[in-house]
Amino acid sequence: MTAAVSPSSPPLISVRGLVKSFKGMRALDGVDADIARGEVLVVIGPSGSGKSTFIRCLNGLEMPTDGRIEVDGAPVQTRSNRDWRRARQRIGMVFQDYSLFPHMTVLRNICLAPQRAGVATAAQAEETAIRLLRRVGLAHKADSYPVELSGGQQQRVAIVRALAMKPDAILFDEPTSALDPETVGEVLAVMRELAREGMTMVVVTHEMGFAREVADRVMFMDRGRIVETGTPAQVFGSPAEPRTREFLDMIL
Amino acid sequence: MTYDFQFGYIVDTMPALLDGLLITIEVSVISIAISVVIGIVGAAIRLFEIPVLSQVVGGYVHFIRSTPLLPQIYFVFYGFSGLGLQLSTFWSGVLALSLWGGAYNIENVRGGFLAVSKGLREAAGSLAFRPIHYLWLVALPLGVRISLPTMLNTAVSVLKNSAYLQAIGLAELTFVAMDRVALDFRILEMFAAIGVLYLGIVLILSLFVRRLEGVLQRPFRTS
Ligand SMILES: Nc1ncnc2c1ncn2[C@@H]1O[C@H](COP(=O)(O)OP(=O)(O)OP(=O)(O)O)[C@@H](O)[C@H]1O
Ligand SMILES: [Mg+2]
Repeated sequence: MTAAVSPSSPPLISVRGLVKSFKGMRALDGVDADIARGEVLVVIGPSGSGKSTFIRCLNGLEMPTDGRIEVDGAPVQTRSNRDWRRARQRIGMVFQDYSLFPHMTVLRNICLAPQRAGVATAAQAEETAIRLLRRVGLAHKADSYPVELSGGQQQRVAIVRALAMKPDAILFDEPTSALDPETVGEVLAVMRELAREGMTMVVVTHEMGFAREVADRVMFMDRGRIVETGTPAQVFGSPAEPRTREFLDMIL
Repeated sequence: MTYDFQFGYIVDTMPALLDGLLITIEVSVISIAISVVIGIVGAAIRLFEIPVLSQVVGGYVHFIRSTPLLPQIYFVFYGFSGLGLQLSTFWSGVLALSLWGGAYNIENVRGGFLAVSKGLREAAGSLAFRPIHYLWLVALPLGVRISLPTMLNTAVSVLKNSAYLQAIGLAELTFVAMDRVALDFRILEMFAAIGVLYLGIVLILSLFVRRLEGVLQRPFRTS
């Protein structure tokens, strides 16, 4: 099902038989996936198909009902908070609604986690934060509060906040869905840049242009299952499954 | 027949009343402080659903809120000494009021915690925050801001309910006033005096909380 990845190195994230039930309803119904280092995997599918549930399981925001998750070859005890905390230092997440801490400045939003986790000293964290902010064009906003920023700016800060932990991978759950159309581009530009630098990314999005251009692989989900996975050319150009074709016809 | 209101009587009794007021303030301030700590700790236990402790806290809150304060005061005063724990009248009063206010503050603070968006808790989780860091750095500063008005209500109630402590013989403001009434029958003068004094400290308490609110709001102001 999954496309072949470099056989020499183990996948960064590996998922087998992932099941997540909500009160008997299977939001995920046996999902297998491997995400290679440096890969950009874009997840698409209709509303309620389990995309969010899938990536939320990858960093323990949802406790899987069944299945195995390995990060860098090491199994994660999905019921152990300590295991997840360790995994989360390596797997960042960017949310649809940015979820910046509203009572902290941009700089503090970014520096807090690396300091707490012992990833960096205060001085290092600040230096990293400023450097990253400069890269996304927001160095002048370091001392602002989130409420003073536009949605696109907040989301770029949220990406920087995830990056400051020096993660091996970042998960994005519809990062541009809450944005005004005119600011979607600035966030996608940052993500494109990240992809180019080799960041491992799992992106749930409805931005098919982005998927086509940036994804190494596109995964189409429906009703808690992976219907098909392939390169953007395969999935968008000649989908193997009628269900994929149907979905793409509907949204394109 | 008209009542002969004597301001002079109030002036004469003022030193004794101020002594009572001082006790009222002491017992209230200490109880309010402890009840805030109980509120935060209890609400945190409930927030993280710590097994067993969470149920204990729930039971405690339920018990305090569904029984009258006066028996609670008697219980602490007589009950604890019965258990061999000798507490002075003052500290019995502090303990009873703290436990009472603490139960209400647990609910107040919990309300604030629940009003902090689930998304922020997930964001903190995804940044590998420990629960204690989430509590201290996110839930408290944001949640307490939300629950401050209800916590002020509880604080004012603690202050007013300190008058019940006359039942165990604490010489707080109401006790002193009632004592004078029993001696001299100057009822209206005494009620006027303690009315003004209670009003005054409630006002000061409210102003203090207003300022605190201002401090906690600052980061959210644009400009
Ligand atoms: N916390 C929850 N409690 C109960 N049901 C849930 C919960 N989270 C998700 N679900 C259900 O699980 C299914 C999958 O939801 P999920 O959010 O993963 O879909 P999605 O593909 O991300 O959809 P969307 O495009 O609308 O974001 C849906 O039927 C949803 O209602
Ligand atoms: Mg979703």
